[in-house]
Amino acid sequence: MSAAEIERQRQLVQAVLGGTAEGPWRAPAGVQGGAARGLLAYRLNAAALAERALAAVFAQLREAMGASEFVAMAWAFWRWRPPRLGDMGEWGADLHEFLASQPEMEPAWLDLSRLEWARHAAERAADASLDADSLLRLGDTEPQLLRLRMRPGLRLLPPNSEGQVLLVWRQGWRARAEPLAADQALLMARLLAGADLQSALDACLAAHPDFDFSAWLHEALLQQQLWRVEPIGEPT
Amino acid sequence: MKHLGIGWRQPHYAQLLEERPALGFIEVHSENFFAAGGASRQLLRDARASYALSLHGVGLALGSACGLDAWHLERLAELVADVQPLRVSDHASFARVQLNGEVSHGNDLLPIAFNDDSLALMLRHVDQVQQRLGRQLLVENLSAYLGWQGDTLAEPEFFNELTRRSGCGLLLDVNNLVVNALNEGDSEAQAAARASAWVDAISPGTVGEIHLAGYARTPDLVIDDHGSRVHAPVWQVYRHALRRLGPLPSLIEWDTDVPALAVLLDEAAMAQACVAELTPVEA
Repeated sequence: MSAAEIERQRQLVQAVLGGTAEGPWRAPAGVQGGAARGLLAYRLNAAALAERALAAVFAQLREAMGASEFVAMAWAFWRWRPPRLGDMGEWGADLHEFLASQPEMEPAWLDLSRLEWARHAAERAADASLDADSLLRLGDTEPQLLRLRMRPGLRLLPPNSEGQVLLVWRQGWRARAEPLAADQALLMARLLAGADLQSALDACLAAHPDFDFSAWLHEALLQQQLWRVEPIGEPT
Repeated sequence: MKHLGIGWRQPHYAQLLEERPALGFIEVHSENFFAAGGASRQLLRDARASYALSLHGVGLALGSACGLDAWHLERLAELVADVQPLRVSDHASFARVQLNGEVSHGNDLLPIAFNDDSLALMLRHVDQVQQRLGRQLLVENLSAYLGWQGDTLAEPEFFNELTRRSGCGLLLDVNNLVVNALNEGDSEAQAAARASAWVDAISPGTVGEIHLAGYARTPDLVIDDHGSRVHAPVWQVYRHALRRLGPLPSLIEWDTDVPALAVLLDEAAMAQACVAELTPVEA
């Protein structure tokens, strides 16, 4: 296909994104069929889709913002960071960054944008049940040769506006979010960064000498956070 | 209703699985089930255990001059392998463009030109998809609110060449034909006649599925919003298509202001009646 066609299609999308419901209407050369009314139809459809897609993920943020402000925000976000994929469920990861760039943004809205995206991602993550056999490695392998892998979708969020560090993960089909104590947060951060178990524990115990790994492990299993224990060097 | 299906949307997820009404198939938007895991994929697997499934895409953007999205095609292939659908379809449209140095997806069904260049592009992309999926793709005709000057092929001629040379099928959306004609300024009677002529121009044997839906009138345009019962001229064209093409799998699409499941089933029963009155033995 010619470069001219690539450019012509780009200009049409640019024209759809280019203004408000009132205009402007700068249809690319070669378009026929009533440019203003056609562009309006596509623009209104895109704006409605933007709101619908984000509302499905950021329901609490929508409630906090109010419906009309959320609609305007969704369209502004589309124009700032258009979807890159044809699956709208993948669009919205950058909403926190967008809101953070806005003047006088409510800290609580920033917190919600980050939390709700993490919940959404956890609920879409690949299914993975506990590899129970792999737990035997904790008894027969040195911890510096082991890595603890968390279930897909589990995320540790940066401190929110109230200073809380939230862990988000999927339990069954639903995402959960809980604040972590400082020792748990430090261990989880190290494990998620790929540290071996010994290094992660050393870092944690250096800062929190009373940390109880056995209790932590029990909870991680009970809460469906741990996926498997794997030897260092095993393909992932 | 062996030929009839409905679009299965979120408000009816649970009810359909609980009541399991007799349907020939159900259809879902492929992209809504692209997530690697989670409840939605399991839900689709549960539905597949009871119904034949048609995967209808809105995001392959087969007419995009900047190319197909390999990620999208891989997600679709994985989904197809998982749920083994009866049919897989998407649209003759574009959506992917370069904006500010990055590929952006418009997530809409934007119109392609009808000329030799766009035909060659569609042929290449349809072949790419069919090779990857290892099966036939159905390609749907659009309702379009803009067009491109300088088209050298009539739309049915374009689809005839596309199906003949790629081996893909046509997903014939008769509502889209009527909407396009109405937006050309036709009366409903004229629109039905123009849409029927479009159907007559299609090569027999290439249509794999028919879509039926409602449209909405606005002051400026008729919008293909899938938000109401099927309108009279669309039923007229549907009957015409059945007479010409035979009893084909047909779908009631309803995506906006989705009503009670009973309303969709009633629309499907009306479509079944059209099939039955024309082909009493086969229905």
